[in-house]
Amino acid sequence: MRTCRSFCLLMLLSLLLLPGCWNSRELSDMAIVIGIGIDKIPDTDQYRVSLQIVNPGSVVTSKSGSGGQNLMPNVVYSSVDHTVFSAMRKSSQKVPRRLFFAHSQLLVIGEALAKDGIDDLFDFYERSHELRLNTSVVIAKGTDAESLLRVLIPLQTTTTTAITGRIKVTSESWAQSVDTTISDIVKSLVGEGAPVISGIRVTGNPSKGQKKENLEQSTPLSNVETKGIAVFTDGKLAGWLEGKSARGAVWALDKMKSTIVNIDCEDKKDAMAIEITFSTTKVKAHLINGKPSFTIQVTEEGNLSETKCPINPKTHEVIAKLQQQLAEETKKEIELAVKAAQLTRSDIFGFATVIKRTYPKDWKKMKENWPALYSESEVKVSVKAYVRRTGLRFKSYIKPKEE
Amino acid sequence: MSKPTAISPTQLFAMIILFEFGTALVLPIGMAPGPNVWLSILIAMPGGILLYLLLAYFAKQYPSLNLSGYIQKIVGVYIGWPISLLFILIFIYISSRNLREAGDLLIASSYDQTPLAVVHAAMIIPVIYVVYKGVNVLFRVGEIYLIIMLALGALSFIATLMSGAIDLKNLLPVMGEGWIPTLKNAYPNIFLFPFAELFCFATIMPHFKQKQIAGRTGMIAIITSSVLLSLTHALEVTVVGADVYTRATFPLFTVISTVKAAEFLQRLDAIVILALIIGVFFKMTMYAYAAAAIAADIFRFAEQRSLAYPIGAVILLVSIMSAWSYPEHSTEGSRHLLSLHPFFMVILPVLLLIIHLIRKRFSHNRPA
Repeated sequence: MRTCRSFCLLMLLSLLLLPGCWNSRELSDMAIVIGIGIDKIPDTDQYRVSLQIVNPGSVVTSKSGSGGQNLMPNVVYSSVDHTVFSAMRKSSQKVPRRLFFAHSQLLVIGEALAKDGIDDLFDFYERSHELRLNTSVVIAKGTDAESLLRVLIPLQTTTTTAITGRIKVTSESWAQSVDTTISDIVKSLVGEGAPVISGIRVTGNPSKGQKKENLEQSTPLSNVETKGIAVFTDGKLAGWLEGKSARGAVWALDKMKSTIVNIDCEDKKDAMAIEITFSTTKVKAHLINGKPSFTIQVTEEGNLSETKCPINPKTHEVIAKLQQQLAEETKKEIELAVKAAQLTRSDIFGFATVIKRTYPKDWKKMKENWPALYSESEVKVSVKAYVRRTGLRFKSYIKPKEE
Repeated sequence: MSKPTAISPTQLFAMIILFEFGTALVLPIGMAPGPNVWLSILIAMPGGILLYLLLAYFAKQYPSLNLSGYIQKIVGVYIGWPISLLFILIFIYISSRNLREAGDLLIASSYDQTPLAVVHAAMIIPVIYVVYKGVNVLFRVGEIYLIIMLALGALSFIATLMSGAIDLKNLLPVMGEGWIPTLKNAYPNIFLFPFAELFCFATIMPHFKQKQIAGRTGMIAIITSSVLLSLTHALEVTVVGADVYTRATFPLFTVISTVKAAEFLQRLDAIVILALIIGVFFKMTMYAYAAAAIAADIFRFAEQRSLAYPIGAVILLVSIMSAWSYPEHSTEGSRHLLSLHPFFMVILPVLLLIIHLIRKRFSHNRPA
């Protein structure tokens, strides 16, 4: 009796553990998808989905320093179908292993598809439990997603990690691009705002970039670099912010972490470099006679990092002047970005959300013709800039020119 | 010395919190959830406390009787017996709903190849075991799991804070649409789920060690759990925004899967799944126990424990057969919440109280 009981108990206990194996997948049977690219097939409603798959052998051996050099670090498979998911599954015709998506870090959207509209692209990402909502998204500028993913890049094992690395570094230290995730995009698509997505373009010769020889040059034949921020109107790519206006947008979006601002000194143009170390942005909405207007308030701190002029920042006047110049430059860049965004009628700064939160009742009336109201609304920019430090020197060694 | 089946106040405290967390922690609560859902939870809390105090009052009036026992005492056997029978069905049904919710989250989140029946069977076995072992075991397990649950909660809370994903602006506008939607969401929706569900504690009240403080402990537990629930739901909205919160089948799961702190603390999804399984386990078991207790009482079973098997089996079957799809299950849930729930969990106890008070008055007057 007793043995029978313990036997039954054992069987029951195994019932608790066994369902865990129902979904079991062996690592050696999986193809790990690290980056996904989506393009539009022209004149149809079909997508071409490109999956970048890591070559595990190459990753392991190149780290231990031998052998793996002969293996391609990543492989790209593409398939065409009407929905994103079915195109992904279709790729299994070409891949010898089971596709595994939980490690995918990047979604590349081809520029043509972005122009056509990205509204309905992300539902699968929301529903799926394998794909992550914090996947970074970029637009393949001037090319399609597939050819971007096919470029082999030195220093990093896969194009995906190379791109996510670039996006992260530029958005944090140069601030002319933004690290947008899928959840950010969905949030702005369902709200009243518009998403901003960084652009990545291929430089050099893209067809040579797909070959192994690209990794054997000290200057790669082909490379990828971040370039500009894409602005969307009604889910369609409406234009690009580049250079200073891109940085202005990053400022207004309160995503500024660090950047270098060049300001004039005396008669030399852009002769001093100030490194921004801290910045915070607040957007306020006002209603005057039913017309919305906005104030963007930026508070920033920076260090003087380089000068080509003989200045002595020990006096308060000099620092005060630097701060004023810095504030003006910042203001100029933000205004540039706001103007460009208003021109495309794309509410990338989420002004609508600010109105909705401050004037929920008036918002209902404004909702109808918001794009028009937005593009005509007055935007004031006020910047408070502080220059806190000047590095390891006060006075520069450069001698003042004798007249 | 306490009786072998006595429940200490700490155990009661732990159980109420776990019970309230149950599915409410993971599912979107209230039927029109917006940025103000956290406020609605706090507004609904007093209702939950009042209902609980009502139960505690009944327990004091009829210290040795079960829910079905005093229903029959108050309204008589002929009305009380069928009502008690219906309570068995209601408790079994809610228990099976909880099982379905946990099973569907498990399948949607990771076990996409595993049949529903297998997941459910694996989950019902410990429920049957605990119901068989009795209320004491259940409450002792609850004490341990409260600590685990709070630890999981603290870990995910810290990870969410560190990830910087919290945007407090998502909670604005507070009262954008005025008071009415927030109040409507609180009463009846959130009041009914999860607060009114505490009604099934009526079946374990005879087991309390110190009857006098059961009311106070329960109150503290309800306040604690609703503050924590409110905090969790506010956190969910701050991370994913009101829109995603409303559309998500399991908002907490979405929230946790977007959290990425310090490069290595990511994909904490397992925590949410654990939290749901723990919460659902206690909720399901409480309902299953409640059903068993009433069934044992009205059918005069000497051994309540033997009812664990049939009730567990019924819960398992109902959980699988009640709905074809998860969306259907969810819609059915809101329908049930507004029809059966208010009658059995709120109106009936209040009616009982009124009848009880009238009867008490008469019986007092007669001898005098």
